[in-house]
Amino acid sequence: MKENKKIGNSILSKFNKISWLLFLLFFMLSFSESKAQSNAIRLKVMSFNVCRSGELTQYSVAPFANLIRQYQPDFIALQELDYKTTRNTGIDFLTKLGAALNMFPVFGRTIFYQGGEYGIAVLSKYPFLLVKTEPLPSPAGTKEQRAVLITEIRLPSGQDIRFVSTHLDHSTDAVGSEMARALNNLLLKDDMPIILGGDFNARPETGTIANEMQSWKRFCNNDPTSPDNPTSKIDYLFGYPKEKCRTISYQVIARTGISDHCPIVAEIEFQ
Amino acid sequence: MQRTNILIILSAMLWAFVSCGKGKDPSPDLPDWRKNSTISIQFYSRLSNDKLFRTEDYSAVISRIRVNQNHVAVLHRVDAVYNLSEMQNPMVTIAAEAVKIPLFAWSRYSSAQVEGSGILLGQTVAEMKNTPVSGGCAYFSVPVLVNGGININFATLTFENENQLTTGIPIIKEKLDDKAVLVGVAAKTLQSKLKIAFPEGNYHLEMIEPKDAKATQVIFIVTTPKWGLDECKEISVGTDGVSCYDINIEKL
Repeated sequence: MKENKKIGNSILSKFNKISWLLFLLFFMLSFSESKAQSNAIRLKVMSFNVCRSGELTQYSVAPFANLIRQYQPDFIALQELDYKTTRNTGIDFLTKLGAALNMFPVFGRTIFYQGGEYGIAVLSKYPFLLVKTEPLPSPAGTKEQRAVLITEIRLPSGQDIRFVSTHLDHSTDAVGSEMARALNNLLLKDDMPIILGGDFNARPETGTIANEMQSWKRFCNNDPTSPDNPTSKIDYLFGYPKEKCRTISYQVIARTGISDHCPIVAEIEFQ
Repeated sequence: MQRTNILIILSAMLWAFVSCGKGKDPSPDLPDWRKNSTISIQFYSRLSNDKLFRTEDYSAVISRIRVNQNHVAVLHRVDAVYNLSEMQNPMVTIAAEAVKIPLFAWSRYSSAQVEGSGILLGQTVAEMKNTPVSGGCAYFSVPVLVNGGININFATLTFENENQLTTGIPIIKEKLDDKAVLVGVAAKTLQSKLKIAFPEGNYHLEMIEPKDAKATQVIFIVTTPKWGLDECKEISVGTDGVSCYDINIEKL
């Protein structure tokens, strides 16, 4: 009888040890998982070609601000911005839009145009650590000088992220491909998480996208993005390094009535 | 008679032409040779390590930036709030109203706020950089094209304590060349250490003390000896205790 009790106690004590070990293991695993989750960067990002700097809204920023405010993005890549041109009545469209949204704006000039400047831009909830506009190459057949606007931002969590806006040439796939290769040379230089948004003027099956953007994670799907009632996919949101990021949600905002492109918005995560 | 009329008309046209030209001049009080070598900076601050604005009324500052021409306007401690429910960005609001390009010299995040200074320019820029120095301190610099084709690198930073100063001095020295014009803010207690770090001969250091005896900070200017402080005037702006320091820095 005593012997049986001893065996029973021994089994019980072994069981206790195992359950303690299991509990410890489970605790450690859940701790490491929560730590990994706390290191993850989750952001809402948008790319939007505003059609000749708001031509369809008579250059008023209010309809753009009202639309963007509904989606509350952390960063926005913008294309087709005018800075004090004749056609936009000499206004600084981007700073006005930034003021309407209380976001930090930065403009990247691609060309001088109509007495002012024309180019791309970024709006950010957080201030920029670094800003640089780099011209892209203009191979034979290029219709217009193009550029890439690179920004680096330190998030409140202390993590740094690179957010980039561009607008590639629409002439030929060869020209677009060369510009995309230049983008890769400029951007893929370290492990800092990158989000690239823009109007690539290229469909998914073109060499520009299918070949040259292979190193990138595509945050968007192939749903059309242009014109306002869309039939063609030419606007994109990409992430890098591709194995460290994922799309949580993605949306094409069609028929806004304020541009010939649909804004695209994605909730994304970097590990 | 006809000749007299023509002379009067020509004189009137000449006068009108000269007056128009004067209205557009960024430094109307300076002789021509100095306009091309002087940088005018408006530096708005409380010099007390406090937020620039206590209310959402920025009208006095906007009006002054619009009326008084300048190459650079600095809004020291024009903090922003990034919390979605109460987002505020006075720097961008002021820039939009004053028709300036806003850049932000970031210092730190503090709960849902971003602390730093606004840098307002009359031109778009191709690059800018905030280099973190140590906790709560970063070195901001941006290339600016001023009068007569002079390119400068305008820089700013704020030293609140000795640790930031110790880490920041080598960074300032590394970046200082004949193009660099640094206009920063330091705690009053750090003045003697700044003087030791930037001795006359190798550097040009100027300290601007506020009239308000309760102020805890000073403005300091660091350049190479090729630059000099031409003049500085402190002007009270609005009724909420904000001062503007009109600083003219001259290339010698």
